[in-house]
Amino acid sequence: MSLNDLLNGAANVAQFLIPAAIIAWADRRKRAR
Amino acid sequence: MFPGHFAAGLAIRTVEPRAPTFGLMVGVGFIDLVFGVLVPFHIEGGSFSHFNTPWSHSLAMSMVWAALFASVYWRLGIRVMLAMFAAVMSHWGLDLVSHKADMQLWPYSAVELGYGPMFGGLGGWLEMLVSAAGLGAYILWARRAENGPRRWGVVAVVMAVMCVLEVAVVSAT
Repeated sequence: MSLNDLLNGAANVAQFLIPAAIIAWADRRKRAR
Repeated sequence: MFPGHFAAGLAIRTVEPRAPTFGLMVGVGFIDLVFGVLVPFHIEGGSFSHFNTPWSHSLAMSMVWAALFASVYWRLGIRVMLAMFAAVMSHWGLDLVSHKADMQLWPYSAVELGYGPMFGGLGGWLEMLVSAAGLGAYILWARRAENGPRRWGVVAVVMAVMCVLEVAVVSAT
C-alpha cells in the first residue's frame, strides 16, 4: 500500500463524509424555543 | 455526479423521513467509500487514476453492499431499510448515466454499461438538473413538513458549493 494510494483513499472517503455530516447536522430539527 | 448523489439522498429523505439523514448521505456515497477503501488494499483491481471497479461498483456487488448497508438499520423497520437500500443503489443508477462504459453487471463481467458519453457536453447540465430536482424536492418538503428541519438553507448552500466545485473540477480536467 503506497502513501499516495492511502491519501487518495482518505480523500475519497472524506469528500463524502464531510458534506454528509454537514447536511445531517443542518437537517436536524431545531428545538422549539 | 457528485452533488447528484447527495440530491438523490435528499429526495429519498422526503419519501421516508424516519430514515436517519447521515445514514442516507453516507448511503448515497457508500460504494464510492468502498472503492476508496478497496483500492489502497489492491482488492479493487484498478487505481484512483484508472477506474476498474468490479468489487465496489458492479451491479451485483452494489446490491450486496446496499443490502449490507440497509441491514444495519433493521431496528428501524423495513421502510427505513428500503430507503437505505435505495440510497446505495441510487449511486449505481446515477453512475450508469454519467460514467463511460465501465459499470460491470457482476465482478469482471464482459458486459460493461455506462451512458455518460451519450449526453456529451450535456452531462454537466444533467447533473445540475438532478441536483436541483433533489434539492428542490427537499426544500419543498422541509418548508411544508410539520416540525421539519429549519436549516434547509444550509443544505442548499452545501449543495451549491458542491455544484460549483464539480464544475471547477470538470473544467480543470
